[in-house]
Amino acid sequence: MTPDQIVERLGQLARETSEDELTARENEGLPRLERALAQRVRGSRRATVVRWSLLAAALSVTVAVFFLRERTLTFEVAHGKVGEGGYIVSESAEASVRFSDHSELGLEPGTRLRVSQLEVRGARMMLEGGLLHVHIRPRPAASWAIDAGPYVVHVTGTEFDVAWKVEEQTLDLRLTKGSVTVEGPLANGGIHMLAGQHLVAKASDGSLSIVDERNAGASPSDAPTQASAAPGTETASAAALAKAASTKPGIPSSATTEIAPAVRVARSVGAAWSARVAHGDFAGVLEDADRQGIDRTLAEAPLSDLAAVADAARYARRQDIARRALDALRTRFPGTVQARDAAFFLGGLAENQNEGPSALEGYETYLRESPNGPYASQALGRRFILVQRLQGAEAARPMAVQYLDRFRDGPYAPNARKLLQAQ
Amino acid sequence: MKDATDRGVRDAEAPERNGRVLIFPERRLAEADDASVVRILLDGDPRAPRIVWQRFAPMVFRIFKRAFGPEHDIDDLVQEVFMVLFDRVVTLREPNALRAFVVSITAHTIRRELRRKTAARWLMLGDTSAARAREADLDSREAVVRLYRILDRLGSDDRTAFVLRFLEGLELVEVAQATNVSLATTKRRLARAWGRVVTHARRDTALVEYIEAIGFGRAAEVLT
Repeated sequence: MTPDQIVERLGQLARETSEDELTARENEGLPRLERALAQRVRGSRRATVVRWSLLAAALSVTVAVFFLRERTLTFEVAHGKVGEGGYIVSESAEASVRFSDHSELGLEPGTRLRVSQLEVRGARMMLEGGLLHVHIRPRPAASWAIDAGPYVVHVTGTEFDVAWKVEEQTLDLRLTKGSVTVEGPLANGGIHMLAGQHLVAKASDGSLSIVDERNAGASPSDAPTQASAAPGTETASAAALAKAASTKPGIPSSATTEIAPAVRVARSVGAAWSARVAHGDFAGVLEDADRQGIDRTLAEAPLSDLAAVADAARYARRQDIARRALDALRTRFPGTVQARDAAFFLGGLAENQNEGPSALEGYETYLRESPNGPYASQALGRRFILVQRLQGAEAARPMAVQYLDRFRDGPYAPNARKLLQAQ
Repeated sequence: MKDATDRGVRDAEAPERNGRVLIFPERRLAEADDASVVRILLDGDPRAPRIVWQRFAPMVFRIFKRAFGPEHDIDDLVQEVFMVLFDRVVTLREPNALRAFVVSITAHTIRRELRRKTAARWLMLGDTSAARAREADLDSREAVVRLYRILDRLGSDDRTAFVLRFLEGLELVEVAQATNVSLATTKRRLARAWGRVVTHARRDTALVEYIEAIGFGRAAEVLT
């Protein structure tokens, strides 16, 4: 069907919704009209003067509103150039983007950034690759967001360094001041980060770790406790990831030797498990679940608690519990969002256990149940990669095409193009 | 004094012997031509509001519904049209063109209302329309709502022309008369509006999928 035909059909639908017959309510317009005509009184000269005065006052207010209204932010680029498609490319270490509200972004050389949306109290930016030093001026109702691959960093007012490594599909975020929320794969509902925390998330293998760097006195030999979402065994440790991150300019190298053993969490007795998971208290939630009895929890816990246990287990790399909790979600609460998402997570867990067919089944189940769900991009991407591995490139190509059709700039787009070019 | 026919009164047959007098004023008036209705309006006949309402209200409601979509309250606008009709009927030069006159007032009201909505959006510092619906499970009503969101992106002149031509099915000349511009200008507006609607509709993947799923019924003859 051509676009013209689509609009013709839409017009047809619109015409079909407007009937010729008046409803009873519409016919009440007749007595109203009769009353209005009967009561209409010609305005006196005085009334005219009053009307003009009101109009003048309204005009004055309009002019005042025009001059006093808040304007959309603007920005200027220093030591960088704005390339095709609005991309900002840094040309030196001093490159920066300065916004009209005095928020500022420092760009390391080679960083590619695009300001995709400007608002009155914030902006949305897309970090194509490289490292940003972010300083956002705190303001009420501020709304700033940085897209980096499949991740979104929501900012209110804060300072942090954020790097997006395209080749590794890795987000590296070091929060200096304030707080941010990170959304993306395995950060379902958003992970709230506090000052001093360091997050490394790898979209390629589905791992996510958070370490607290404020406990500088901790022994470097302590095993880093990770807020890890890694469902597999191949996940790099937080220390290794932090070390890798430190090779990028702008991230203090001392971070690699001062990783604290535990994520600082604000744990409150009796707090909802989901809230505690959002604050990184994965171990605490699992301890509580264990205290109650894992079997009993999985069999009796309400939906929100069961989902929280599943998240906590995934983040804490307790894959046995994670799988059981996700299975319980699907069995006990079929049709819910959490149950549908569980199919995707089960796919991820299976993939990281090298259980290819099971992983494929998980992703396909998710795509069937949530074709437009938040993990559709990930599921489609992992699916064609798995199919390529299990059944060969020929079988995977149609899926790669399907992925590119829907997510032309998605995190798996380079893999899809590579697969298609190898034809 | 006006005769009974003009007043729409049907005289019964000779009522000399036990006959009944039957009077069907509304039916006769409903069949009266535009010029007769104009005379009733100009005479200030108390039946005038009912007559013009019965004759034109369905059309006015229909045009407004097609102009603003299912989510817009149009009762006040309809009242405005009829109030203006009573005010301005003295300026009507050609009494037989009463219908075109009402369409013209309606078109003018549409343009003014669209400008008011645009100004309201601007003063509210952004688009106040509802958030974009999730791209799933469209039904025909949602499809129509999306069409009107697309129409919201048109200028008031282009949108008015688009509605009168493609949704209401008026002839090009009628659209030009109703909007008080030349035929050439009308064609330019229609081409521009059509192009923009097609462009925006094509970008709405869910909408395209829905329309393709329900198929293309009858061709819209008004387009030819």
